[in-house]
Amino acid sequence: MPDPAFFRINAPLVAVQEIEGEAILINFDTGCYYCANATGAVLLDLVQRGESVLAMGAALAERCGVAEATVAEAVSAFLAEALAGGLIVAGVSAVSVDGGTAAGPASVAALTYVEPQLEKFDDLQDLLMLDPIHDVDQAGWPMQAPNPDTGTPNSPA
Amino acid sequence: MTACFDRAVRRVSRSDLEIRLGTSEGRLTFAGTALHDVFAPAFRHLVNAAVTPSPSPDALKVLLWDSASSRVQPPAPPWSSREFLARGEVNHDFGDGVRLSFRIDSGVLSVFVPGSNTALCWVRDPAQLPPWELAAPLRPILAWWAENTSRQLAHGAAVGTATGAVLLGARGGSGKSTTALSCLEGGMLYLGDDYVMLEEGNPPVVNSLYSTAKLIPRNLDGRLPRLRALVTGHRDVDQDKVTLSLYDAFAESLVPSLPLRAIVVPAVSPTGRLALRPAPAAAALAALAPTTLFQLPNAGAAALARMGQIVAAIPRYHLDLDTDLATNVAALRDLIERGARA
Repeated sequence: MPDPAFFRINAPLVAVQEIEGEAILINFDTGCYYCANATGAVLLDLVQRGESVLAMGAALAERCGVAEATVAEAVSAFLAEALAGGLIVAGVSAVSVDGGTAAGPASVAALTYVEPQLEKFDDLQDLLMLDPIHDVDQAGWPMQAPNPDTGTPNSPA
Repeated sequence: MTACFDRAVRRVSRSDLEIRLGTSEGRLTFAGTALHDVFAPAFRHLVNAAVTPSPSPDALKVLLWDSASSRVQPPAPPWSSREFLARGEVNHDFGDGVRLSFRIDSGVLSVFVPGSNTALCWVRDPAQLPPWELAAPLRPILAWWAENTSRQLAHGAAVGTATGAVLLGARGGSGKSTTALSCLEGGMLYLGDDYVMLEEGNPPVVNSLYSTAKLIPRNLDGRLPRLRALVTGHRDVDQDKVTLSLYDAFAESLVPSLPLRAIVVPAVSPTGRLALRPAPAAAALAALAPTTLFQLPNAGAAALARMGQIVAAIPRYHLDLDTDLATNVAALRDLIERGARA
């Protein structure tokens, strides 16, 4: 049974890419994409490594040279936001085998603590819209239903 | 499907179009002329620009036919209409890595077989194709082929000089197309306005796919009026953009490939004056990847990783665009030269 103390990246619906200490996440289900700052990227890396929520807080605190109590609430909030956005789902207490596993050894370079943040963008959601209203041609392939006002096919998004 | 194409050829004849695709080639074999006449113009600049006398081992081969002129229908889909998803994807396992997409809004079926780099494209009626299919034909097939041959399609504009190119990546309304076309008008080389193909390397390479551009009429009339004569009859009503065919006026400036020197994220300047500053890699990837991947069927983590590697390999900049187009052109020329010297 999934353990809420562990999470995994919601692959393949979600793709995550670390780049120069930050991370980009794309949710192909919702059409939203996100930028995670440096500390957020660390947490996402730890998610991919199958670390528990407690271990993530400890690891982030150690990287940033701050007390665990300093980061605990922010870590929970970050993970809650990622969960609400469908970016992560409850996992099991092992390295994820469902995709999204982190490549290479974990970085241990010191990091200045800033609250982990996920910046969300939804300006491209229209690109994933599917027109549910369609007819079928004589060969059996869907085709756009005619515009009820004009009788011609709707101009697509 | 191949049998359908063969029947179509027997009814309406056959023609071949060979185009350069990066360091490789593509052979488009059409049944009849109806589909050839609407797709071929976008690739004119890549015709007869073969890389080598004999086809590359990873060359793309596409068979294309339409039902309106050939009266040959494809077989009925063996899945329910509920299985048609966003991005033209179909919820069905075709085996052997075969890719298939069907666009309900344009009536275009695309199939790609990675083991042989062959593809099929069926179009219900070329006369009913929407403007974006004419401006950027075969996008799913090119995207799958690119992925299969370690290349990557990117939604962005690219312009350059003899020493290299910049890739302009941004969301709609950022001034990307106006900037790219002003560079072309200003004597720069042009690789694309909407989609280009990237290859990893040192430096990475940007390859042209289409000799078209799309622009909001207001920007065309107000900022680039000399390009009005290049407008085709195809207008994207929903995006309120017109399509420009660039080959006849700018054939010598449309190049197949250039080394990629920088990625630029353009935006309308809050002051009206040009401002250039380094951009974090994450910002550049956010400007390029989502708008690319949301429009390509089956694109996912592997494509995002490929784009990330390319973005991380070269300089990136935010460019606040000057209201004077010539100032922006000069800034991009300078960026290319700086990148070439680095």
